[in-house]
This record gives sequence, structure tokens and C-alpha cells, in this order.
Amino acid sequence: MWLALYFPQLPIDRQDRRSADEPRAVILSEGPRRRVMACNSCAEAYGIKPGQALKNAYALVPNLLISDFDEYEQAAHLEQLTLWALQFSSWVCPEEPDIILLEIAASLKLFDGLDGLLHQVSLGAKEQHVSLLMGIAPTPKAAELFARAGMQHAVTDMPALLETLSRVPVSFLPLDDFTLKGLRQSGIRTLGELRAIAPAALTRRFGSQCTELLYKLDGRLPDPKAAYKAAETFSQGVDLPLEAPDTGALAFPLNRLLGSLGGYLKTRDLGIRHLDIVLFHHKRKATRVAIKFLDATANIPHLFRVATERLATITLDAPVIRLAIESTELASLTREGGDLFQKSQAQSSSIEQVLDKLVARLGKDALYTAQPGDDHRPEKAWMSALLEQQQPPEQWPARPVWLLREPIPLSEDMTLHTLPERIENGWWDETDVRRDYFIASSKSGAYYWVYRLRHQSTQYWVHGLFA
Amino acid sequence: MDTALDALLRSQPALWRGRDRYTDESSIPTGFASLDNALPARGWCIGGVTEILSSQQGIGEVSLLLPALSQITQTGQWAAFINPPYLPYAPALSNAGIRLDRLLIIDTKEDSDTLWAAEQVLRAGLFSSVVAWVERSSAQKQRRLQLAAETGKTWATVYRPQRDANEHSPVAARLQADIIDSQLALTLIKVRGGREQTVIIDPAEFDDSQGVEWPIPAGTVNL
Repeated sequence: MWLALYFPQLPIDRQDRRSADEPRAVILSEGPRRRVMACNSCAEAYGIKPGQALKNAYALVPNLLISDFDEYEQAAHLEQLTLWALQFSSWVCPEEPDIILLEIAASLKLFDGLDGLLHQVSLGAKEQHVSLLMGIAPTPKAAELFARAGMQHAVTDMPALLETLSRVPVSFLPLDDFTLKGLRQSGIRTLGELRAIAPAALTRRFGSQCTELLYKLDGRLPDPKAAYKAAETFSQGVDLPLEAPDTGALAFPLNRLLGSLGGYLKTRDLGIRHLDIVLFHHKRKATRVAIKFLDATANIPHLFRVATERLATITLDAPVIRLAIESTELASLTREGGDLFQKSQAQSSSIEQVLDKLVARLGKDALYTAQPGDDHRPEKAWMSALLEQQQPPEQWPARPVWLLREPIPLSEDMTLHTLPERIENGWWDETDVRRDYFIASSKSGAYYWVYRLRHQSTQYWVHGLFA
Repeated sequence: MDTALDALLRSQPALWRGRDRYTDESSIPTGFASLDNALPARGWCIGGVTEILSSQQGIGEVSLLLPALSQITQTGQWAAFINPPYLPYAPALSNAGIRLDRLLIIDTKEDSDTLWAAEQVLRAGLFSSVVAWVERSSAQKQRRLQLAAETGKTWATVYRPQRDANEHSPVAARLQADIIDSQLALTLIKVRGGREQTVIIDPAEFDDSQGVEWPIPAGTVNL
């Protein structure tokens, strides 16, 4: 069973939805003639229609914002949508310029039946901000035809297919203009009327492509489709229709790219660990923003949050004209049981997600755990470790909760409370330590960890606080 | 008289008594009997911010938390220190029984980052204890933390300078830490469902958490 996704507004869909309240159109140039190819709903309200000459459109809406149709960009968009669609089926074939075919018989169980699958697809399309028409039929050609004709109800068996096909107007058939004109002039309005003609006569009158199409529609002729194969690494980009002066305007294209990344990760069953967001500028070196994750993740809303958080911290030197995402390091996902942390069962986010969010804003070095080192010198008995395996606990003599990074000379009067604890070590490296440590208290009642050097007994240094 | 009054109060379901609400709340025992008794929740309040306003550093204001932190981390739950003023010294924490691989330390550069990180961690509800040190805060910011702690049902502790003691702060509890007669005195400036009082922590109660017997014998050397 095939599901065809038809994107009727693909040229205009790549534009930012936030600008929906200004009339916009995409223009196709054919030599000197320039025609409207697609327009947004705002422009439509002014009476602009696809196929209209640009001159007429300007007469209707003088402040129409136009951009030229870019075939390459549309192909890239279709590929990104194909990557996105990979999360619904392992057998996905893009059909340029604006159709994606999915073999869905194998996916129905996973998505709780056809309704569940269609719901997920349309939800995803809404998140991707693309308008979508769907058609479902036992043959790929018929699914495509139903999608183009806007016949959205599912046709799942052969009798229903033949019955529905006979009602489709011939004008939706993917035939050249000459053949369509011939059909019209012969008084043939629907596919049913066309099918009534004997195949030999049909071929003679309208050429073999017409007969072939009919046979492919009802499955009499096989119509093999090669499944789309995802590349080894993910690298996709979007040319921005308008230059983005700040990173806030990048949320829309970023969302689109991350959507296709989600499908890509799903089909390869991988998570992402290291991601580069590349911001291209006009005539300047591109800005690369690296985002690293502690654990491989395939959670797209989380990726989006981390990425926007990270982008918000960047000030741009020049406007962005193109945004790209490259996967630098992919890794297999670790799936853990939910009861690793006692509190985590009821929570929707995991500890890695929270940590990633913190790392994205504060930097990777900002997070660590303390760890006692295998040395008695105070400087060396402290190490930072990022969530690594810890050594078994060891009992130490009295130690302060706070250690000063650099000892400071003691300036006020203090009372020493303990006998000296000699710490002497490290003649083999640079920090040669020969000190006598005491617990001391100041007049105001605070307790300090102070030391004096062995050969310099008058100067005391503060090295810690018993906080 | 007490029972008759109680019976009368109980017969009125519309009557809301301040103390009731918080005695039901779950809490973590502080490890200090006198402090547990003074707090209406019988321990550190889970799902609320406790502010500690310390007159100076080095008087045991952090050791106050160590017994509860030890209890939390030993059961595999997470705790976080956000913007500690000095290096949290691993040997001391390990002496106090804290599992160091369950204590995440987060360094921040400014108060806005500290408050932001604290809010994120509290709201996630994945940490059982969050301790943050802030230099400047405001009633509004403290309120955000309090709400985040309520959302994440997390025991939150915020250290603030003592000069802010007179400022209004909409948190669950506020404690002022001072040294009186070389003993740690905690003044409960504000506790939901409790009353203002001063709790003296006997230095001997810090023995376990600091690995040394307090009070330590007075020394002979004066500098």
C-alpha cells in the first residue's frame, strides 16, 4: 500500500511563516515571460493566482514581494522532506518536483493503524510548516494521482481502486499538454471513460505513454520504485529567502533542518553527539557553531531547544544568507530503563537533557564532580571529573569543606587549635609541598585551615574554610 | 482545653490552619535534632527554597547541609552545587559520607547564570537537592526559584549575603546563620507554618560531617 505526500505549495513553503501577513509570490521565468508560480494565502486574498503574469500581479498588488523560483533549492527541500519522511517508513521515494511516495503497509502496526500514521504525518507536516495533500492507494501511481486530485480518503483494495479511478477527471493525469488537449477534444472527461476504450485503439490515438500510465494506475503493469538511501553523514542546508540579521530569525529554517535530521537519525537508528550549525554570510567566512552532547540523542525538540539556546548567545558580524547542519559525530543510542534515578520516573526529561542544556549555555568546563585524588597534597587531593567512575571512599583526617584555589597569606590574628599535621610530598614534581597544617579560628568565630611552610615558620597561609 | 479546641477546629473544614499544610509536606531530616524540631516540616522542606543568610564564611554554614546531602547521594539521587564560592573539597565531602559522583558542581560566571541554571535544574525535578550561591537576587527572582522548586518537588537551598536579611523574599524558609559564643546560631527569620526562633547547633553535632571532634581543644598558640 502506498501513501503519496503531495506538497502543492512547496516553492512558497520555504519562506518564513511569520511573514504570512505580507503578500508574497514565487516567480518562474520562462524567457522574457515571468509568471506567478506560487503565492501565499495573503496574496491569494488579493486575487493573485498561480499562472498569472507578473505584470498583472503587480497591477493587483503593487507591494507584492517576489522571489525567483530556484529549482536546486526546491530539490534540496524535497530531499530534506524525504529525510523527514524516513521516520514513517523505510521505503521512501522522492518524485521530483513535489511528491514523496511511502510504502506504508509495513508501518501500520508501529503507528497504530492507518489513522494513527496519517495523524502523525500531518502533525509532522504542520511542524515543518509545509502544506500537504495525501493520497493512499495500492499502486504508487494511483496514490500520486489521488494526492494531486485532492482525493484524501484511503483506497485500500483493488475493487475500490478501480471504482475510485473511474471518477478521477483526466485533467489530473501526468500527461503532456498535447495529449490532454486531444482527450478533451474527444469528449473524454473522466478516467472511467478513458478506460472504456480498447487498449489498442488508445495507443493508436494517444500514444503508448497513455496506455502505460493506465496500466500502472491499476497495477496491470509493474511500477518499481527504488527506496531512497540515506547518506553516511547528514549535511543539509537552506538558503534563506531573506537575509537574517540576527540569530532569532533562524528558528524557522533550523526547525526544518532538524525535522529532516530527526527522520535521518530514525532510519539509521543513531543518535547525534556532535553537530555543527554553519551560518553562511555574504563574502565572509562562515560561522561554525559546534554543539556537543554528553550522550547521543535523537530527541528533536530537545535538539531544537539546545540549538536555539546556543544560537541566542552568538552575536553575528554579518547577516546570515544560508543555514546548514552537519553531523560531525553520530553514535548509537543507549536506551536505558526508566528507574535509574529514583525521581526520574515521573519526569519527561532525562538528566542528560538537563545537563546538555546547562552545557550549551555555560560551557562544557562549567560542570564537573569533585573527586579525591590519590595524593595527600591538598592541591592534588582534589580533582574534577565529569560524571566518571569514582574511586571508593577513603577516610581522611579533618578537612575543610571549601578549599581555596590559591592559598592567601593570613593577615588577622587567629587561634590555632590543633597540633600541626605535616603534609610533605611531591619532591618529584613542581609542586614540592612541605607544610604544617592547623585548624585555626578567627576572633569572629570562623574556622580556617591554615598552614605554614616548614622553613618559614612565621608566615601563615589560609588554604580552606570549615564552612 | 487543647483537645476541645482542636476538635472544634477540625469540625470546620473551611478553616485553614497555616501549620497544617506544611506538616504534611515531605521533608528530609537535617541531621540536627534541634533544627528538625524547630522546622514545621521536621526537616528541610522538599518543594521549596530555604535561604541561608550567613554573617561570614567558615562558621559551619555549609556543614549544615552535609548530613542530608549524604543521605540523598547515598541512595543514588542527585545533588547539585551551583556557583560555590570556593572549591568543594572532595576529601571533606567524602568524610561526610557524600557520594561524590552524585554531586554535580556547576560553575557560573554571573548571578544571572546561577539563577538560570538553578531554575533549570529545579524545574527538571531530576535532582533531589540543589544548592546555589548568589550575590544579588531580588524578591522576583527568589519567587521564580521557589516556584521552580515547587514544580520539581526539589529541596532547594540558596545562600545569600546577610545584608539581604531585611529584604522581602517569597521563599519557604529563611535562616540567618551567626556565631554566638562560638556556637552556630540559626535564626529562623521566616518559616512557613512556623514561628521565629533561634536554634543553637552544638559544635559536637558537626563531628561526623567534618571528621573532627568539636569543640576542638583551645589552642595554645596565638598568632
